[in-house]
Amino acid sequence: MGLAATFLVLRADRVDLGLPAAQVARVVDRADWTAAEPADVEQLLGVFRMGSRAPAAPCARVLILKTPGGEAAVGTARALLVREILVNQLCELPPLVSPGGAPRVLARVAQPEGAPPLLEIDPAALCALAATETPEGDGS
Amino acid sequence: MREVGTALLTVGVQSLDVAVRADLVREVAGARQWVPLPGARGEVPGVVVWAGRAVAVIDLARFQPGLAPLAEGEARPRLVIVACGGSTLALPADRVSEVWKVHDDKVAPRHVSDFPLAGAEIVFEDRVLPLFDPDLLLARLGVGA
Repeated sequence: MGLAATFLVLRADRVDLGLPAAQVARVVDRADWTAAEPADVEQLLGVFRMGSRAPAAPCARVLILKTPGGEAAVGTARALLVREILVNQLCELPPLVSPGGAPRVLARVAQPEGAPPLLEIDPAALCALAATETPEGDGS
Repeated sequence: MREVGTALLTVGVQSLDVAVRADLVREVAGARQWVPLPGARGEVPGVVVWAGRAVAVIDLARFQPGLAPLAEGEARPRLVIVACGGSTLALPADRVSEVWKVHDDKVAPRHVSDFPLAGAEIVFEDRVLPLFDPDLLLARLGVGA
């Protein structure tokens, strides 16, 4: 066995969306979250455009991510799983998949045999994207 | 004496047949599941891991009106791995021919075919096949060739 990386995973229909566990400071139940409505991870990534799931399910939990500037919050309606991936299975995504200099929120991919593929989310890029979006339902 | 001509493979997606220069083809694999990318444009819907790196999946059907685009979770029976500039691409296909050779005088500027990723076409027996040009693909995708 080689070196493994641990991810907090949101399982979509055909792919796991993984946040490096080391960069998740904590996970808070939405009911205990009193700050502004966090941007939904999947809406930020455009998962709904993949027809993965009907949009507008309310966030059930809030992930507090470590960023270079401190911390930032994003939300998800999905259950979170913990998954380990061998580091040597993680491959950088090719530039061709990021048209016109779009932000690289997805950093790497792993496609292990017999398990769902995993797309690694870059937490700093995700938070930067969240900061540019107006979260749905944020009345503040 | 050296044989003159261009070695080609025919790559088919539904009713579209495209000639691809054999020297660009790295592998013809069987059906492979590809990884969909959230929010990706239709022409590049995902990636596959091939030879230890992530390779962009290109849906040729997206470039030809009237063809059904690659659906999420659909794996066409063949996956053609092609070198494209400094990149490598994966072309899901319904069929791939053996390598065949055509004399250079059978390669002409594109007049008959309307496939936009071809700058030339092959006049072969009673058929006219568009010749896939990776540089045109990169230009369409907004990537410098």
